[in-house]
Amino acid sequence: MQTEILIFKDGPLSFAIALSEIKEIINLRRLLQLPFSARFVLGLAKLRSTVVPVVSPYLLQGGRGRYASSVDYACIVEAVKMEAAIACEKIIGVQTVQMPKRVTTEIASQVEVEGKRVRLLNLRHTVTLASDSLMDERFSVSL
Amino acid sequence: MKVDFQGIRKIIRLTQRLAENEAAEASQIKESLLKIPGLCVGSTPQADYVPILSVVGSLLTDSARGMDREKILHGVHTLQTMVNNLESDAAHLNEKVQQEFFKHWFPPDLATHEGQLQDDTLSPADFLSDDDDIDKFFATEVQEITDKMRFYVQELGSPKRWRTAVSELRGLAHTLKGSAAIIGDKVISSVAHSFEEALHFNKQPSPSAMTLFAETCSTFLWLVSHGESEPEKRKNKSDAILKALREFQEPQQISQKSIMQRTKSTGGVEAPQRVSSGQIVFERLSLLLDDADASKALLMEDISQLRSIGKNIARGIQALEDLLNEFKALAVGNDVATEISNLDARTAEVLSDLDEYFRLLDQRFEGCQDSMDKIQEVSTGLWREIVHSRRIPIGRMFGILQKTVTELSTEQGVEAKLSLSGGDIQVEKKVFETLFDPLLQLIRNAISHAMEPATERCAQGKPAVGRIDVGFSSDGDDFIIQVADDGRGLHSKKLTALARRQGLLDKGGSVGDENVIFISGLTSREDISEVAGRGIGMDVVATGLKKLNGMIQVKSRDGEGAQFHIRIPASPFYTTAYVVRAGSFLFSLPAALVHGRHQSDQLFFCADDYPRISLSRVLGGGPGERTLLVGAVEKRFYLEVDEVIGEQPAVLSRLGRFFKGLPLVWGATLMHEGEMAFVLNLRDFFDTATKLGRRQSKKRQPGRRKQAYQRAPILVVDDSITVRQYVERSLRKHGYEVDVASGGDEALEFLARQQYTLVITDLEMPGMDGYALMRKIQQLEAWRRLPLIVITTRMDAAQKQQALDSGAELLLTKPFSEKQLLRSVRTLLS
Repeated sequence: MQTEILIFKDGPLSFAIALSEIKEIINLRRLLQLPFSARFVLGLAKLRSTVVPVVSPYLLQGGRGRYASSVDYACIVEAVKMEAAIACEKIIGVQTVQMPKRVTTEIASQVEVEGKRVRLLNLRHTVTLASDSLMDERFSVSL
Repeated sequence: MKVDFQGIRKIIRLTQRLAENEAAEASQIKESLLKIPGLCVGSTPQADYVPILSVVGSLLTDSARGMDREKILHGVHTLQTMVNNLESDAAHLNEKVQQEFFKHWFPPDLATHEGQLQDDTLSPADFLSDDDDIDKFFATEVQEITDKMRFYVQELGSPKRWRTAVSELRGLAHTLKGSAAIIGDKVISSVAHSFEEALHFNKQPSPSAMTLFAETCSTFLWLVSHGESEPEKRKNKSDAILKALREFQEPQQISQKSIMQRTKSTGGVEAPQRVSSGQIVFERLSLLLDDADASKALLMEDISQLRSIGKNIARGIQALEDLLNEFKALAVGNDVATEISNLDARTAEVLSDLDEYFRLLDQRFEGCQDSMDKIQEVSTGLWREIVHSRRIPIGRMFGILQKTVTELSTEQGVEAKLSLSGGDIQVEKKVFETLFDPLLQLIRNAISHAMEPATERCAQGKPAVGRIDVGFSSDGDDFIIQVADDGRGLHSKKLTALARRQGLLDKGGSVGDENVIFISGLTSREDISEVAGRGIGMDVVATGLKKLNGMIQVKSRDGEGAQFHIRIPASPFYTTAYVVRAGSFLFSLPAALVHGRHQSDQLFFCADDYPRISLSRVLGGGPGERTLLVGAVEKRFYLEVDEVIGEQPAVLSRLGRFFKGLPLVWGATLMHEGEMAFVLNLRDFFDTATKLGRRQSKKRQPGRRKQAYQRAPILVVDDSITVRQYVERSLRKHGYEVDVASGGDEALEFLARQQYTLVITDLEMPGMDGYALMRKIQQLEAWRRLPLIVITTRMDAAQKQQALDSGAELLLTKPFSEKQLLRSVRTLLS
């Protein structure tokens, strides 16, 4: 099945989200840092009357190093009744691709775009994993 | 609501194919529909597509039954109309809201139409003038409500969450009933009413019940998509579901609902109505204002950056001038000098132009700033108007409360009189609606648990008729409710023992005095009646108040009655926040819960024995340099932070479901400068900290604690031997080791020789006085963190301030009792 995806960079990796799953794209100007949050939570962004976490898919996948200040945009997505902002360090563009057939329990499955591998995010798993491991171990130690 | 019209058009194209194909292909079309990306999450359709899918589903069924082609085409036409309506709705709503919004922001001529802003103030009626508009809003609302209902119907399958789901479903059904009644759709209103009635049961519903509820949700959607032009079909459909709902009804119904029904039928006041369809526009307008605030903050930031760039340009010009001057000084020979002279003239022109541009740029900045100020003024005014228009007097619920007391007293065989005051206090509609159930529950508890029969009361010397007083008042941005009765009291010790017997509390576990009543499942009744005995009543209270970020304190005296003190922010959206910094994080506290802030940044406080909790330490820092007394009534505590920033108006934002497991933080605030801060949940913070404190103190051995005090000498400095003796004896009697000094100089000698944990000093002493001693202590790194208590005969405000500035943390005025002294010492040493 063909679908349109938004391709973006986060850290050194390329990720993608199905266009139909993006509610809106916001400009990240101010982030509120959450004490003792896991590394992949870059901060909290205000979205009208609510606050959404800005999640880095690269760091969520176990990536190391950097960053936060270099992230300008985030895609607002909703999965399992939870709203989250997926950090986009650099937006590459929109492509139509063949959706992978195999159902995966990973947070992303790989798709080929112009000969390059892109990680297509499974938002259900991404958001659930991020919400379940929101706080790092220092939080419970502090309490 | 976000509508993906492209996705819907795909569905229409597929559905149109249905009319041209055999029935056998219908299932294939259904399969392809479900494969459209984003259409379904698992097997659950996305909210935006539900009504469309409902129609498509009907068409598929008709097709499978071999219905005629013309009917199917008619269905496709209906579908097309729905999509057109949806598109038109979205465009119309956006346009209308934006027009209204910008009309208020930028009136044509503010100077000549000063009264216009007030005349144009928005009210729901402005948006309800057109019946079509109402219908469209109602259709949108039904979609949203049904989507939520479907989610909670699924949640009914969870053993842990089904109670919450039932409660949410009841609320949604109630909302739908009210909205349908407003637009005059009696069919939907009646189905919603029956659905609400059916949602009263005390055990987890069976799968068949869940199926019935899911069908009810589908019926709402069907009814809203089949307008009143098809009355016969609507009647048949609603009759079928009404019959099913009636047959389902559980025998054990919670009587609260029946009481409300009886009250209505006997002419009582109306039960609280929930959000109506017209309010959707209001909500959207609020959101737009919220966005405007955020945009304004960004614009401020841009201006600030532009100013910075402007300054850099100015510096560049200066550097260019300097370079040219240097070049002139190096020039030799007439030709070169002429060239340079020409160059200089041209450069001077350029520089002059640059200066002019810079001046204009600066003018623009000033203009932007003026505009920003105006936006600020208008947005604040609009906020006030909106917040005010959403408020309703709390007195509207008085009738139903009175009726409840009358009916329940009769049922329970007791006599009770309800006194109500403060009915003119206005609260946000959301607060009103959410508060109703907890309040009703407290009153029901007072009658069914606390109130003795008249004979028993007379035997105890009490009036035969019991009293229940409910008072409403406001305190700054907060709304206060006091519920008091003169019944039996809570008997917290008995209840704690009961909780242990019922396995709800660990052996030796404690939740602290009266808080035992909030243990879920605890009941003092052996029999289960219609109004009491299930042990879930106080859950309703706690849950309702938690939704409103409220605090509740309980006081009780055995045999004399109980008092509940409730504090709730009057608006769930807008507040005055008291902003503090701990580590690198900003936190905002409800301003009304911060006490003593008018004295100075550092709090002047008396020797009350409140717990001391360091927010800075929780965040991994030191103890915190500033102390605030925060909280309400019995849950007051000293909160240590690094910096006190002060009061600011702030827009409240709740944290979404993503953060559902996050403790201590209730939400976030956006302040006028665009900064965000966490809203600390003071109740949770207090409870968590005190619980941990108890756990830690249990780990300590009693003997070791005493020894620890004995190993921690206290230095008492006073020129009066009587005071020295009095303080020394009082402290030694309680296990403290004490050294005494008669003046500041002697005290410094003691401090140089020995480590102390606390210094208690007089102020007026010969030689080095108390002020000088404290300043000396503050100057030395080794002693800087030594807690200091000042004891003195009398002080005026300036002297108090001077003592605090010199480093005193606590002031004790002579004469003081031994108890006061010990409290002060314990406070600082804890």
